[in-house]
Amino acid sequence: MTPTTFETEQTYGLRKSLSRAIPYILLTISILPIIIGYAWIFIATFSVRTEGLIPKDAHGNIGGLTLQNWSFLHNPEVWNATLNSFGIAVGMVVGVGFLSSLTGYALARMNFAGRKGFLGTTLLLHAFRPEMLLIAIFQVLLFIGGIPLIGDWVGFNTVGGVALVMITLDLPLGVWLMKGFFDNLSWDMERAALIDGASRFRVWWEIILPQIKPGLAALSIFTFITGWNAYLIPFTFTIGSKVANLPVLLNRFSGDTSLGSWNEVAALGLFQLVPILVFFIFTQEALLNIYGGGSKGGA
Amino acid sequence: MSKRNILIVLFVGILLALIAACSSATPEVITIVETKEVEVIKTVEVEKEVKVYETVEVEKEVKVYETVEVEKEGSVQEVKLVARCKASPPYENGRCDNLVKAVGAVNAELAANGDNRRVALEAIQDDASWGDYKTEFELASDAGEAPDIIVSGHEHIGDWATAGFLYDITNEVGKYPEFADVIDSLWTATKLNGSIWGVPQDAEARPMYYSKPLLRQLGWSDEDINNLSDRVASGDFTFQDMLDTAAEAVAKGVVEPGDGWWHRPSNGPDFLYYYYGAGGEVVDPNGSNALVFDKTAALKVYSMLYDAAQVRDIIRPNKLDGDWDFHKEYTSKFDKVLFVFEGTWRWASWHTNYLQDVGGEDYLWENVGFAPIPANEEGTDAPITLTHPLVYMISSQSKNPDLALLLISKATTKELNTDYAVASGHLGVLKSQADYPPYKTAKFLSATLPLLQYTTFLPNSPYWSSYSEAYYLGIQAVESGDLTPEEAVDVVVDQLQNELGDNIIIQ
Repeated sequence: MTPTTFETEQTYGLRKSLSRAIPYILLTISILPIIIGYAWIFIATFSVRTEGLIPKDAHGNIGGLTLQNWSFLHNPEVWNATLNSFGIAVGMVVGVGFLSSLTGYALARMNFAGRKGFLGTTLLLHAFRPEMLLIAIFQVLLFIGGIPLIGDWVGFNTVGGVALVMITLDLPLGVWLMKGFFDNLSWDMERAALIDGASRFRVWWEIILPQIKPGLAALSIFTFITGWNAYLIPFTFTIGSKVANLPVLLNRFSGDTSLGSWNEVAALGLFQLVPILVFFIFTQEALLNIYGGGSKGGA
Repeated sequence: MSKRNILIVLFVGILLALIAACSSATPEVITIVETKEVEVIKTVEVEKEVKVYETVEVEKEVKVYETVEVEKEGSVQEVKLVARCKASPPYENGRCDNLVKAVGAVNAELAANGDNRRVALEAIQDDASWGDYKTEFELASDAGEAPDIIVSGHEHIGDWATAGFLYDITNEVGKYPEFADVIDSLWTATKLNGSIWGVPQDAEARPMYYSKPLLRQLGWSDEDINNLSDRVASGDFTFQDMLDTAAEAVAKGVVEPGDGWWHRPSNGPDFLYYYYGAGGEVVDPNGSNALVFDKTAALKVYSMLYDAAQVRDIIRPNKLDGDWDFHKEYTSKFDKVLFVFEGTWRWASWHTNYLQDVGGEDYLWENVGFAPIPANEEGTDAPITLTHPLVYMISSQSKNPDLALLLISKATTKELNTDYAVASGHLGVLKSQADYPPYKTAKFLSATLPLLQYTTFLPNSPYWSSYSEAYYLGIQAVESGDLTPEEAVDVVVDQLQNELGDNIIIQ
């Protein structure tokens, strides 16, 4: 092996490494502002104040690290709002997941009158912005609120009512997403089960659903995040702090006429982010399966 | 351990560490005084006179002492009230906090009167925007879930009383001695169609603040500066003089172009006193419910503002950008803007939030003067200001309006209201506060109290919101240069007629 050849291979290797590295470098540069933003949030939550990314004390000297910004954890309102956010998000995951998978299955596998029209209408519903529907939704919630027993749980100014509205608004996306997954499944196992005498519901529950776990996981993540970060609907249809969720509380922290304690707001924002990250960690494997080759028995 | 588990453990660890660490932080301690009635079984000695007949020769009187059990009072019934307040923390927190503090006095009075009800108050207080706050009350009222008490601007009586959201307290006010102490003129702001719909909670004036250092740079002597307030009050220094002085400051480079005079950066009650000062009326003198729009007065206002923003560089053409944070900080030191139209409450906000490192309130006293809004010599030619009292209102859905009003009465005392007034820079609402030492010794409140003699109010009308929006549209249009003053008047008239129909009288 001559030195020249060795040098050529080395250069080739270097060039290859460089060409591999370039996308990462570009990616890093492009997301740097976001990373700096998150870094600032993290540092700010533990600082009296910050100048850029440098924590400073009240006299402007470097330092001033504190946990005071997290003192809102003593505030029962925060925990109540966390519980409400959790209620809305979990309600959405269960409601949207259950209804979308049932509807998606029916639309993908069954032939019934009005199927096409239903699909088209569903898509049309998704085109409406929630802002356009606020007054109509308010009237519906008032009506539901007047129904004995049910009204106390899913009427105006209840977590159930907010969850119900959020589920309704998210259903079109869920139904179409689920229908897409069902369309990609093979008929073979399903036919075999039906021939063996299984009911439609049993087929759906025992044969089909296990095959679309990645789809359910994806839908769960999207709906959980939507429910957890919901602002407009909870803000409009709840009163006071008892039924407020975290984003509504976060908005109140910043105030209209008063100076916001931005470091405290950042801490509450970070606090709000933690469950999303935990939820993502638990579901990421299932989620990534969507991009990694689909599900077993797929067409 | 997998990467996932490590992350989970890490997050849980951080969360637990934060909770543990925060246990050493000092939370705010709020002491709430409440009077509780405790059930007791008491053993008492009763002196009883008994006639005893004996077969004796002499009838004698005997005192018999018996031990009896006193029947205890009927069980106490807890009544929950909800109060909703908007406040800029910390100085305006008294709006709801005073109600909380009054609960003890309410329960004591109920106990003294033998009433077995006891009030438990849930106070919901935050700093939501006024628009959101109003919408929330309206939606809640529609849904039958309105709070018992709401604190808001008196002008909402027009909308809310008309919509049936409020409880008419006309016949109740006289039953509570505390309300006799409320300054008589403030009741005007709580009336609609002859009925009283609220109790004044605070009052304020909206003065013209001026920068002493900048006037000095302009060549004014200390005597001139000290006399300015009196000159404005006497009508000697007019609105036109103020604009001329501001223009001179811009021309001489004492202030940057656009920084000669500033008003608020968004719509609000202030703009109405420009119109009043120009000779305009809003309420129909013939007593109809329709509102009046005086084209001549409006044209004077729009021309003056157009001139200030578009011709003379006195105020920035984009001043109505809605940026309150910038507005408050930029005006706080009075080293950049010569004249500022603001509220008396801003005094506390400036020195608390922006001037702590330069001397706080002392800095303001040294560098800032205030006076009523100068007279418009082309209009009424009299100095003016505007008071916009916030009022406690009771929802028509309240199941216990008597208790809500009793609670409001116990919060309407000179002690509680003075605490609030001193902290927030608002003026007192009670006659007795004028002689109450803690109020009298509050330098700023005493100094601004005379401004009330120049005061005016917003109308209580269900049409006020539409009127205000239309009038403000004209102000925005002329300041930004989008319309000439004449065009603005035409546009505003069109909008008012479209929105209000027969309920607007164009003069």
